[in-house]
Amino acid sequence: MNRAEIANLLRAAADEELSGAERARLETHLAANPADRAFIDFERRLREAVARVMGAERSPDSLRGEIESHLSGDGEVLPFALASRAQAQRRWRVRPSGLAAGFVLLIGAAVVVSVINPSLLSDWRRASTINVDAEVGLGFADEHRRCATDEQYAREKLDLHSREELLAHLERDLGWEIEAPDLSEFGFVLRSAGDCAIGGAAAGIGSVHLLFDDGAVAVSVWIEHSLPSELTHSARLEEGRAYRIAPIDRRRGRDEANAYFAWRVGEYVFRFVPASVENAREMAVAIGMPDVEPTEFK
Amino acid sequence: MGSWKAERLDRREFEAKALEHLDAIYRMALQLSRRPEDASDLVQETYLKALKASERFETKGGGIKPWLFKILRNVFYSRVVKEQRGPLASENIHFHPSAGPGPEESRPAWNLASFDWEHVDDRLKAAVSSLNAEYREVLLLWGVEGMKYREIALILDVPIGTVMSRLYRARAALVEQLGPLAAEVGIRLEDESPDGQ
Repeated sequence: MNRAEIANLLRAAADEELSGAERARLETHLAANPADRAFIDFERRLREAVARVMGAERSPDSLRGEIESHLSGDGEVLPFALASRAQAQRRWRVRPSGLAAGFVLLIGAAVVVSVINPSLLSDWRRASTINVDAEVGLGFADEHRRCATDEQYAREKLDLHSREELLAHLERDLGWEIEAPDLSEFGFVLRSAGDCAIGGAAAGIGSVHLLFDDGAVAVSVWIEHSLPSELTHSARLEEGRAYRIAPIDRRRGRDEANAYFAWRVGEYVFRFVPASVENAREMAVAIGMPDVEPTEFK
Repeated sequence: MGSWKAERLDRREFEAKALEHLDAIYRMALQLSRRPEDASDLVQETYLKALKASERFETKGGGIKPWLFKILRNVFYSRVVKEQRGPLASENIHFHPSAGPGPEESRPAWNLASFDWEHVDDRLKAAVSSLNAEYREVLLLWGVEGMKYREIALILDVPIGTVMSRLYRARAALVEQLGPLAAEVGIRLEDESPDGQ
């Protein structure tokens, strides 16, 4: 292990996030470096101190009273989003005129946007800007890299080594009724499958990471099932459109190198991280990504 | 598919369970907004939205508490986006504490075992306060709520690797600011980290 890996291992140990294999590696390391136990202890104490400092606040009694009152039906219904802070004391009250005005404004804005620039509503090539920040996009590209290069990074690996086994797993074990991605025509074979990095399966959410490679380059496809908003960046992934998710670093502008694609098919969300492989557009078409434009795969 | 089966709560049960988490939701709101009046406003809107959506709530995905956290964050960040369209943004939520020290630089260069935790709270509070919202929220979920990386990832809507990265940066920033305290209480400066060997 290099220095960074040791630090990560110790930190994960303090957080009790180690897998069985990682625990074994930790014990081996600590046997040779007993002083590192102090670092684990330090991290644990730091967490306790953070809990003490950040956990001291309690909600005001008045707030609890207001909410309880509302929940019990004593309060009226309440569009806070339309209320200014100066009107905060009125926040539980109905403001029909405000609601109506808000509704009219919303409809008006949608009409204006669609007239001025219809592509904003229909052009998948524009990155979704809904809750997409620098680290989200960067994270997925980085997850792809780690899942492709670090054998230990996957949280759960499935014993699948062919498309047939993958199809059987999706249908038999998960009950998924989808066409599994097939990149064999591009010379890419299924190298591994499992729950890598995102951890959806571990959290009770259907998530499968598929890693394909041609012996030199790897691409990732994540498939997730039945996610109201988890792991979709809260973006409304409209059926039949692909979204190019590009991380936005406000200091440097959009980071094109870490863009990836997401789309929804029924209850399934697909993510495609092609990195810089050739034929990425054709691959995307092959795995069912809608509305692909070649210009986006330069 | 068994793990995906949902359980629905009736209205009264939903309300009772939601209120159990009021302090936790308020704490998060306070960390996000920094101001008690804004925190109360955020919490109220969160509970409003939760109540409106209660019939759609299903107990999968970790229960009602993570769901409330997610609603709260959506409310908060929606407001931030609105504010950023105005002349002044209350806080640049995308600011990073630093360019990010390398993992090998993350450990304090003082004697870890002899650090005096009795004197740390005020300094730590100030250090937490100096962080930006995205780091304060991950610290709170990790430290106060005791959540696992994967649970935090679901709430923050980011990959686990991003959670780990943010936690690492946040902790590194805290440790960096605790350094002067270590010096004040006479801790011997040295590097006991594995890197230093």
